[in-house]
Amino acid sequence: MGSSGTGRLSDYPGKTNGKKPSGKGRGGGSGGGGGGEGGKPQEDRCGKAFNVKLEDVEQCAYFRVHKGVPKVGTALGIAHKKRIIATTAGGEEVGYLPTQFNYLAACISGGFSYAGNVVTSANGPPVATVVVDFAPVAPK
Amino acid sequence: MTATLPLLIGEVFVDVTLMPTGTEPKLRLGGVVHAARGLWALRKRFAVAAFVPDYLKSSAERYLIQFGCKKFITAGDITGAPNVMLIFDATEVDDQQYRDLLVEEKSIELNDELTAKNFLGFKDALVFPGRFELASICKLLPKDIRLHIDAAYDVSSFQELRKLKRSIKTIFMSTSSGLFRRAEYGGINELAAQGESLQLDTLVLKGNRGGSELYAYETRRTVQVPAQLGATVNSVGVGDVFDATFLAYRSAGAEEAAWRASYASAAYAQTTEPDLLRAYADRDRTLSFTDLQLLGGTSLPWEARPQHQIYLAAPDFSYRDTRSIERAVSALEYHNFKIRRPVKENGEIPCESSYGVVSAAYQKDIELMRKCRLVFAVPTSRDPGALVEVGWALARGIPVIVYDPERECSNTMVIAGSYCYSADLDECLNATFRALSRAKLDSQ
Repeated sequence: MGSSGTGRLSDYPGKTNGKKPSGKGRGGGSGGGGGGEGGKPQEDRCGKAFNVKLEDVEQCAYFRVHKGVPKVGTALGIAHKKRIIATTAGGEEVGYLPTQFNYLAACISGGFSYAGNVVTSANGPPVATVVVDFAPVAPK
Repeated sequence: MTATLPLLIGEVFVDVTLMPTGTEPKLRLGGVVHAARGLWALRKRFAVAAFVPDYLKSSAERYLIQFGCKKFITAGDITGAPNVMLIFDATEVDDQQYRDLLVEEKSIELNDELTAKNFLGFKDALVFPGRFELASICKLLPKDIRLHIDAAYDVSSFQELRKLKRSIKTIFMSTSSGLFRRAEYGGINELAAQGESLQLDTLVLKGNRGGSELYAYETRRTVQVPAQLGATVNSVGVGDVFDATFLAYRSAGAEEAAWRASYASAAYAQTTEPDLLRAYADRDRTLSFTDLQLLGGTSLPWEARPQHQIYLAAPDFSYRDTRSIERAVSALEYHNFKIRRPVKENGEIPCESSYGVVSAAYQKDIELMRKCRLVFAVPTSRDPGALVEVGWALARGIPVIVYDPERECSNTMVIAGSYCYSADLDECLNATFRALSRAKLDSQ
């Protein structure tokens, strides 16, 4: 059985394998070279679409004012207030994003924005549920 | 002037993260280089005193200079071993299983050309102890230098640090470290008592996914700093990046430094690509300390975890293939959770048992589930008992994590009802920490 070599120290600055980060933040990848985990390119976390079940929906303004959750298909955006929160186009607060999405605060600050649609919603019981698909919006 | 820069002291390794068959292993410089990458991402310059094998010296120096190292000092030579670290689990769901190749053959000698002059003027040194003699290198450092020591590896006791007779300002300890685990410390306060005679400013206990704790000796106050959990790409070196970031922000106060360190180490776990890391660090820097605090995170100190008992819903029977179950239990126990295993605690019921025997076992299992704050299910082979337990917990609002490695229960009710449904143990562990951290907050 033959053998083969493996790799070199390729993860120098400027040799990022991943997709080029966009947005207005400083820094960014420059394509080419090696360095991805196991050879796979790594995508900027700010540029990824995601699906999220919102938290504390019943405590948020939308539920209190409308006595219920937004319908499936309702367009939502994301704002960084004290926490990361999903809002309607009119700015009504629908629910908080769990803390694993805290990184979005820096993404928003760096120029990214996000738009999405409600894919599941229910008033409960046991609790009001809103699930949303979000995707980054290309900076203008 | 290079002397005002922080000085990083430690060994240089080649880290090889082994991947599934057919995938290229991840190969990069490790050891003290992780901290260097962290400082580069923060746009901070630094100096390095490295213990390095001769074959690696020029490439390590070249590499570090590219990352903003303004002065490279060869602290010592490593012979007898290549200083290659094999890493079998890059996500630390369990013991990370590092293997230092030929470690018993390894020998480290201090560079005999080094004198105190090489270190004149340095004010802060962050030391990552290794197989080198800590006392010998410390003797060369200026008397007034502030030492910050990561005692996670290769420090046998606090007594060893006392013998240095130097001003140690910060000790970093990790709940993953051998010293912490061997001593079976109960938590930050017990650790802080151990460090009492060292005249420390701060003791930092890094608690992995449960966040970190700071003990300030002057005020005798403990502060919890939450973790920022995300999907882990490679967690090797995240603790070192935490230390380096803490040092970089120390002048802003220990608490802010720890919050910044928490964000930087999370970013380091989420990418192995330097440019991406720097982009994350640049963006994180735009957030104020207050922003970070208000965003919160996951906080579950080591000593608090056993109080949140976890019910294992799984076919945990002696006659079944329980490898996935054992892997999950091992990972949860590694993180100091108390797992209640109904089959082990209440016994296995023979197939032909009477209704009375079966009913008694059912009641015992339900009683056990009532005592638990979370149900962790591993419903291999679509085990009906485990799935009923999942439903029982969901109906009572108990958070349920379903680890389904073969995706056998990829069903609407299981997926949508659970707090987390995943074939990835790393994701399930993160969810366990988040759910219990949230339950702790709600109960407060």
